[in-house]
Amino acid sequence: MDLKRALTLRTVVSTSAGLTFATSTFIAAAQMAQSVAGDSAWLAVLLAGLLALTAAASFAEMNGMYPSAAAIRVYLHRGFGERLSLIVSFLYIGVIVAVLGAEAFILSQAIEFLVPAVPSIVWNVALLLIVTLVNLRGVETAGRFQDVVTYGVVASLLVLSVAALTRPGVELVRPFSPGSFTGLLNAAALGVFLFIGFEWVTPLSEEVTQARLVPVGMAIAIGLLCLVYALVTVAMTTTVGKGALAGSPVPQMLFGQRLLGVGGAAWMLAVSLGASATTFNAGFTAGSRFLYAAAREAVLPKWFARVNPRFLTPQNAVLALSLVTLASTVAVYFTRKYVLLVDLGAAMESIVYVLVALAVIRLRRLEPDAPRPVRAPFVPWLPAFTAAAFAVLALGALADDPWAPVVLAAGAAGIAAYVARVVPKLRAQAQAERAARVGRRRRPASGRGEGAGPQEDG
Amino acid sequence: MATAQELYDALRDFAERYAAEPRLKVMNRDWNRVIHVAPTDLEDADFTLTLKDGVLTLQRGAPQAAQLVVRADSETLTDLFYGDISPTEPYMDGRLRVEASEEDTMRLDVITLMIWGE
Repeated sequence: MDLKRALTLRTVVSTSAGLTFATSTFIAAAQMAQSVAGDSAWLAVLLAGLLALTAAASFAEMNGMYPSAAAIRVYLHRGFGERLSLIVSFLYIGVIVAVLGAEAFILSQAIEFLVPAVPSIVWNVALLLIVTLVNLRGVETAGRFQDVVTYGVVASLLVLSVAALTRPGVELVRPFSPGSFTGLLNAAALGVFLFIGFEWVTPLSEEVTQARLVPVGMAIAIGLLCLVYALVTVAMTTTVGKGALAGSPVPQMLFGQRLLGVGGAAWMLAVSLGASATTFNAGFTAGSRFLYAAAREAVLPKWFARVNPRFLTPQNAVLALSLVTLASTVAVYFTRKYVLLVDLGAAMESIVYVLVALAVIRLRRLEPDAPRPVRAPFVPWLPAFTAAAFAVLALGALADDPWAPVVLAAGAAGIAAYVARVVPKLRAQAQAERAARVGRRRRPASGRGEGAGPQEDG
Repeated sequence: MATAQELYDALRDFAERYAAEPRLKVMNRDWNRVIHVAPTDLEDADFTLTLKDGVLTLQRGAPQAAQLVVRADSETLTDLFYGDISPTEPYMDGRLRVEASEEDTMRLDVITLMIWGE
C-alpha cells in the first residue's frame, strides 16, 4: 500500500512560516524593542527563535508518534491523561480565538490608516464576516496559494527592511548591548508571540512526500522567521523610533509610510493582508474543527457537531467561533487592550511548549518501545531545558500586564470546573443515548475478544 | 483483539448501512477515494473500501494506492465500523490514526455521523 502524498519541503516551510505571520506580530516586535536598549531587539528575536527550535524538536517527536490533526490534544492525552489535555486544549483554543479578535482589530486599523473615511469597526466586522463565510463554505488553502502568500510576505519584509537599514545616514545604536538581562528576557518572552503557530504545520505530516520533511521544514521556517523578524524589528525602530512605535496599533504602517510614503504604507497593508489571511483561515479552521471534534466526543453539547449538509463544514462551530471572535474584537476596539492579548498569546504558547516537552520525557518512560520515526535529541536534557526556559518566558509574558495572569487563571479555573462538572454529564448522556440504540448494533458483546469465531450477518 | 472475520463483518455492515442511506450517495458522488483499513495487530487482515461515484464497495486485502489509511488495533476498528464507538474518542487518545488530508478525515467522520447520527 502506498499513501498518495503530494506536498514538498517548499510548501511545508511556507505553511509553517505562513501560519506564524500575522499583523499582530508587528505589535509584538514593536513591544519587544521597548524592553531592550538601543537597536538590540534582534538579539531577543534570535533567542526566542532558538528556544522555539528546541520546542520544535519536541513537536517533531510527538508528531512522529501520533500524526494527528488533533495534535496537542493527543500529545497531552498520551502524556498526562484526558483531563489536563482537555483543559489545556480548551484554554489554548480560547486564547487563540481571543488573539484572532485582536488580529481582526489590528488589521482593520491598518486598513483605516490608508482609508480613513471608513471607520475601522466597519472593516473589522466585514473581515470577520468574510472569514466566517469562507469557513462555512470550506475553502481549502491550496499549497500553491500558501507558497505565494508566504514567500511574498517574506520577500517584501526583507526588501523593505534592507532598504531601511541601508539608507544613507542610518547607524545602529548599541546593536549588541541589550541592557539588563531582565529586559532581554521580557523581550524574548514577547518574542515567543512571533513564532506562534509554526507547529500548526504538523497535521500536514500525512500529506508530505517524506515523513522527515515536517521537522526539517519547521526548523527552516523558524530560521527564516528569525531572519525576517530580526531585520524588520531593527528596521522599524531605526526608521520610526521606539516612542512612536510603542503607542501605535499599526507600527508596520508607520514604517512603510516613513520609508516610502503612501506607496510604502500600501505595500505594508498588502503584507498585512497576506500575513493575516492564512492566520485567520488556519485559526478558524483549527478552532472550528476542535469544537466539532469536542462535540463528537461528547465534551461539548451536540449542537457544535452539526455539519453543513452542502459544504460538510462544522457550521455551528464556525458560527460560535465567529461570535466569540467578534466579542473579542469589539472588546479590543473599546478597551484598546490588544497588547494584553499579545501577552496572553505568548504565555499560552509557552505553556503548551512546556507541556509538550514534558510529554516527550514522560512518554519515553511510559511508552519506551513505541515507534518514534523522529526522535528529539538529548532526551531528557533538551526537553527539560525547553520546559524550564518556556516556563520562565511564560512568567515573563504574564508579568508584562497585570491583567494577563488574572485573565489566564480565571479562564483555566472556569474550564477546569467545566471539565470536572459538565463533561461527565455530557458523556453520561451520550452513553445513555448510545445504549438506547444498542438494539440496532449487530456486534454481540460475547463475540468480542481473541478467538471469537466468525459471525453471521444478523 | 478481534478476528479478521469480525473486522470483515463490521466493514460489511458499515458498507450496508452506507448503501441504505441515500443522502450519502449524493454527498459523495464526486468524492472518489480508496480507503485502506489497516489493523495493527492482525497479519494479512487488511481491507479496502472503495468509494466511486457515491457507491461504497469492500474488498479483502490492501490496495495498491490509497488516499486514506485508517489504522488502529482490530478491536477498535471493529467497534468503530459497527458504530459501537464514536471514531473521535480513539482518534483523540491516539489509538486511531487516519493518514489522510484534514478534509478527507473530516469527510470520513461526517459519513459515520450520518450513518449513526451521533
